[in-house]
Amino acid sequence: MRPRSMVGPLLLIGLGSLLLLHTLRPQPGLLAIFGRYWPFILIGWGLVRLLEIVYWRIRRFPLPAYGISGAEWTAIILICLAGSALHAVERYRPWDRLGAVASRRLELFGRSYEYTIAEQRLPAPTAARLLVENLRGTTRITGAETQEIRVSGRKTLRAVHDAEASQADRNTPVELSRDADRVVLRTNLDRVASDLAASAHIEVVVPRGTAVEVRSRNADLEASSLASLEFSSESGSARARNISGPVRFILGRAALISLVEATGPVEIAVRRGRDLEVEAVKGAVTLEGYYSGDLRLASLGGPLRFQNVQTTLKLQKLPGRIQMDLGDLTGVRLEGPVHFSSSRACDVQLDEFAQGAEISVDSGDIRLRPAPSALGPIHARTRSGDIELALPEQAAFQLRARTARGTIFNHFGPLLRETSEGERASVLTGGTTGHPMHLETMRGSITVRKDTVAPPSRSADRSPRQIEIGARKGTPRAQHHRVRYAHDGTVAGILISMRRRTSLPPPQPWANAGQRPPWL
Amino acid sequence: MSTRKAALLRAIRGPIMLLTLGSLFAWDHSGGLAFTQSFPLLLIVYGVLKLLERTAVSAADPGGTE
Repeated sequence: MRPRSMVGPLLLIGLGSLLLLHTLRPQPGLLAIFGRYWPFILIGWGLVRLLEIVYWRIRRFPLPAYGISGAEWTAIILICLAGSALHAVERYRPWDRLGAVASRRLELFGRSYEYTIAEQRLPAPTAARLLVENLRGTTRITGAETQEIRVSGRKTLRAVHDAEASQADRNTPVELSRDADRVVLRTNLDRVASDLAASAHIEVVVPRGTAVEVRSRNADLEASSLASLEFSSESGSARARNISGPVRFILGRAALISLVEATGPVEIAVRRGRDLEVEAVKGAVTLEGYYSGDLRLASLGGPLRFQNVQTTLKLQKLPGRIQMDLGDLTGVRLEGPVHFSSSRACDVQLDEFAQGAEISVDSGDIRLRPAPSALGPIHARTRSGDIELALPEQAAFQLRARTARGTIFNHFGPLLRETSEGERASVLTGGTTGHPMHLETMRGSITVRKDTVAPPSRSADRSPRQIEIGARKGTPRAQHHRVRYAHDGTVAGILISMRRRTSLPPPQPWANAGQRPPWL
Repeated sequence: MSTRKAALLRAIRGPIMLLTLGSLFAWDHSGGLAFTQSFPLLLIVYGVLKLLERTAVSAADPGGTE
């Protein structure tokens, strides 16, 4: 009698483990991970069945007429459909369009009404704290040389009849009240039905030393010149400038978060964000969450920690800048040790970083050029991609570079020795003193070159240049673009990622400044 | 002997097709060739497996009475 297959129990164990992991430690990207890696279920399934059949044959058990039964093919088709749907949803993000449609739905009915919010004033207590509750709309808070809190603005809503609109306006009075040393500002939008789409656009002027907390559901925030700022919302965007204390943003979906000039520690946690910009912050910066757009970080005086399930970035200080998106990380003048790891494909380029770096990516190229004055240990690893390390000519280092399948380019001559390991692997070693430098790629070339680039010039040409982008046929469908900077801060080029399977001629993404792309 | 070989080839046909299918989807998702472009490989793999199976059957029964 032939034994039964193990695939069914194995699939059940895998599914149960995943669900248990999700219930114990919920992770937002679980479905996305399934959408990305589900083909490996098929590969594992096929492999197990193949091994089983070979084993049965060796043990002389009777073989099945067909290796995969009809019921199994049905399950496989269901997995293919579900996996493809999830993958498509993750890639094309249809909910962005659905959200836009939903927000316009009400515009078909009734008409828009706008009401002015009469100005209200209240003497501010010393070291005032302001709590703003504005569910929908925009909130602009400005710190100024004043001793009172002033509120003004307008309210918009949609209704079918004038009476309905007036009633809704009366039901949602803007209240400014004082409670001990705390001032509370409420727009009371929760008192009317949500299909009226009531939103308040309020402008608040407060004394400079005010600590502000804003609670919203779907609102944008603009704030400047405050003592501290806390903002929580289900969705929205936040722009803040010149905050002299702690900053904390807790957002579900965030289209844009921008923070410029802050003194205190900064904590930004989003579930799903698009663009993030943090600049000129003196305290520690902690970032959590997924960002599908660009992350731009610059001039951070304290430690930086960015983390989500797939990516971790840590460093001690950022006098220069970092630009990161889903597929690239570019950094100039970082103080480390820099730690960056990503379980997805990512190209990494770091220039003038101090105190070493530890870089690990699933796949992608790694280009490193440490600052000559503050070398540190360097560990760089990619499963598939090229690694390039530029070191000062006189630097002392202990190098071990290994490529399992690829070429090694050694610009240091006899100082380094190349040997072979097995049939395809090559190893480059050399140096007995100095910091350890470990480079490893499973598939790709390794280049160790002398850093002969001239030091940054302050008189570098920073004038803007214009690049024309067009298409021979139709409109180019660029998914995102990324500016790559040279070591001296000038723009070295622009990477334009095109949507895959476009009718445009494929990849020639790099267009140097002033040079027309080849398809023009 | 060749009949057993043909039975083995028929039994592993499904798992190999499944492996190929999974690999093509994995290739697609990792940014390689799109599945809409690579799916003919499934037909080729299926054809090769059928060819091997028939060769084995013919060797076992030259009269073609299978």
